[in-house]
Amino acid sequence: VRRFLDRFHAQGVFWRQVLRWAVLNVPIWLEPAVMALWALIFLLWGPGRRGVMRNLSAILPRSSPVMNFLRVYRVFWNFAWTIADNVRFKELRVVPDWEFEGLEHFEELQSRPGGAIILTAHMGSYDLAAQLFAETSSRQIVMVRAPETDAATRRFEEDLDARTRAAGLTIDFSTRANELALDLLHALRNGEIVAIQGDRVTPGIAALPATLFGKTTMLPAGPFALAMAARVPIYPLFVIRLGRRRYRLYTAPPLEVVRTRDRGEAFARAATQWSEELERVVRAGWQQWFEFRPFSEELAA
Amino acid sequence: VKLVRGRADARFMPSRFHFAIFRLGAFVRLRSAKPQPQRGLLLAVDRHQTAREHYLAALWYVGSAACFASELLSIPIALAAVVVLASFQLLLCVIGLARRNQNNIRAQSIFMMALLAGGAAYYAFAKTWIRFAAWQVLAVMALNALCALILFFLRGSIARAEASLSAA
Repeated sequence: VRRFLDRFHAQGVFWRQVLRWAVLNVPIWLEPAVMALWALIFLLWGPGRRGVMRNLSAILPRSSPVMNFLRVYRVFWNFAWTIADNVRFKELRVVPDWEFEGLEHFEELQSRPGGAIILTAHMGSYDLAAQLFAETSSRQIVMVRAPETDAATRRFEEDLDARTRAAGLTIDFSTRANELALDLLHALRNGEIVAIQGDRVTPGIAALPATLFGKTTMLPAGPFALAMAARVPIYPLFVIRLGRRRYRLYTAPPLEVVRTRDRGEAFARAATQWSEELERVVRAGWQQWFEFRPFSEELAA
Repeated sequence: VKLVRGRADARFMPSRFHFAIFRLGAFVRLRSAKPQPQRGLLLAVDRHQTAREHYLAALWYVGSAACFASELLSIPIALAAVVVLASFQLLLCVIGLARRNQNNIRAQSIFMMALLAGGAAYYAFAKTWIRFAAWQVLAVMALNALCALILFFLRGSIARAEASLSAA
């Protein structure tokens, strides 16, 4: 009975199946109405709602709880569209419109001879961007992501990925930290691009302290250690949803993690640069930062 | 996937619109639009790409269906809109569960539009205000059919205009 009920948990496989079914069945011109209803239903997810509200209280310090409650709806609305766009691309190969900001950095990333790290956040449709990048570029890309906690959901996602993944894209999971680090180092030295989400720490992986919106938080240390070991630049890259089937791909100037005698100092400097960039982008795009848990212990308390 | 690179005026390509009314409107805009080069822009050519058209269509459909549900169930329109939104999910199951794991979007679109047209035909000769809601649905559908006919005769010009954008 418990295994059956787990399907209906927020991370459960039932919702992924419903989403896939909806993508294959909802008339496209009726979608806005369906999205509006489902974003409202998402509001019933207490932990997610409270997590976003706490994060918003730090991002927009002068905001009221009532306004933040309404803003949560906007976050869930964007989330619903984003995950639907992602599944639609996988199932029906429908792509959205793209605008590029920082195009010179993006072109440099694509054309530079060696490997590089893309550091991104849980914003917009990062999955979709990685797929598109792999399909439109000759470069191999390795996307690192946190695995699904629910076993059935993990199987569902792996099956979907196996059926639909672009040829140049490899997906790896951040749980097997030690072996993964060696694999990624090898990939970077082979001139591949490694995409990592740098705004959330998975339990069991190394983290660096940082400050985000005036609160202490932890950021994954892996990207910076990898950049130093492989001597490759880090390109902060964000996928920002502009509207229905419209995204902006913003590429910031690359960060260099220079190898010095004091590794800790070099990491701290890089983490500060990254957290400043992340803060700037999230402040402007709070409505699509899909961080459903408080990003800081101070906010969770 | 067909993509147009670096041309902002490609937003008005009729192929990016779904309903004939909007496709015809887009073609008129496209003919009067000047070339707008925009670096770093990638537009997908898909008939469901435009936001305004789809938000308007959803609003029109839900609004019209809510009017019919309000009359049928004798409830306020606001409540009827909620009922309509919830009942969509159930109606979609009719085809969705019969044809699992298939792309049913076209079949569902036809089914849902047929339901609205059926409702409009049923209420068109009612004695209450609902007949106005019914007639506007029928009028919009007739206008769309007329636009589809005009587009059929313009298909050569549309193809040439779109080809020039795709080639640019």
